[in-house]
Amino acid sequence: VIRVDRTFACMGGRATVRLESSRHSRHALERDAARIRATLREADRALTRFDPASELCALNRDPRAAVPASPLVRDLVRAAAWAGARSEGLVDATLVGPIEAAGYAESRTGAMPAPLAAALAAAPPRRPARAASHWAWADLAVDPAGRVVRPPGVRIDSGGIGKGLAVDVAAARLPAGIRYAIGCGGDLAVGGSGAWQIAVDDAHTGAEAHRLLVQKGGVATSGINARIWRRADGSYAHHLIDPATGEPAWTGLVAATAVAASALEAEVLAKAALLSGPRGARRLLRRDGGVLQHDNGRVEVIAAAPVVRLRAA
Amino acid sequence: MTFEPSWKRLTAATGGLFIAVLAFLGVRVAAGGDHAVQAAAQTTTQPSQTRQQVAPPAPVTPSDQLAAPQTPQDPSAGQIDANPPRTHSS
Repeated sequence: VIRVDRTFACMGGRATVRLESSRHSRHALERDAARIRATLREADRALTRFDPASELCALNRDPRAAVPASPLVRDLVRAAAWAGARSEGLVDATLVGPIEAAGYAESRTGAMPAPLAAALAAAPPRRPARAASHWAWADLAVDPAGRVVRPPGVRIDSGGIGKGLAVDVAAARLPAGIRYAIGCGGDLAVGGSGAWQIAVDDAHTGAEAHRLLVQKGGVATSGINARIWRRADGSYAHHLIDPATGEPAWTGLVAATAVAASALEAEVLAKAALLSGPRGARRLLRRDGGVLQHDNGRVEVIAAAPVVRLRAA
Repeated sequence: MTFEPSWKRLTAATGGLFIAVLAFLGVRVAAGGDHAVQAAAQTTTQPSQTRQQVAPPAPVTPSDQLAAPQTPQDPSAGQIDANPPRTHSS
């Protein structure tokens, strides 16, 4: 079996590519890895909200109600609308204003996160996040002419959705016969023959907290520890916003890892789980399983529900 | 001819109706028409990876412990990956 590994900076974090095959040559795998890198870089350039020249920023500035867009941005808009519906409004990609108001108007790539323990000690009482009263994400659509439709002024944040979408797109372009694990910022798309072992990093210590076994699909982690900062008033903030309040959500969980059919779906499930708090998270993750990391450091593994099959006699 | 209701007739009619409904549902399940059964079957047989198909479930097997290899061709058979792919907050 020939294996090719690649690691590079992408979307404010690290991207990792692992390809294995007994049918393809090393040269072919290296070519596929290069294509994956190009796909992720293209997504990074198009979907970042920190570069005014990106297509997403241009869309967010555009005063028209219907805006021509590339296939990738159209996919992002569809994914954002789907994420809102799938999470009943918890995963809301239109919260750019509240995120910026919380202190995340510029890229935090390379910035040292504030100490998680100090932030948790100073955080307000824990409670589940709730959906906003007005669902702006429900107004996102792509019309038959391929234009993005949304009320002017509604801005979209690619966030984790963009990472999940990007690795799914890269995985979908791979030829058959390759075992792959494509990761970007903690979102992974895996597939090929045989199960993948996926290490879940501990949000408190950085060590391996658990190892999942995933046959095919996506794995993603949403957490507050990597992008957390102290505001001018001394309070702590992070980038996972409670849609109902517009403030960072403190739910009792510092990270949630989800397994799903795709990286995009895993990303949405993980974020919805974290925002829901422990009780809601268990309900969200019980079908395909996952891992919850509590404020107190406890790591809770949610086992996937057993598959029940009825057979006619 | 007059119809005379009785407990015996009522019980027989109710039982007959119950058996008829049960038979109908049995046929539906056997034919795969039951949505819950379909979803469960898809979980094990129809992985989805295209970017347009994000909702259908895929065959994923998270476990508390590393499980036995799922297929004879499993490259991870019996081995602990020293450098596995990682998921983390970002």
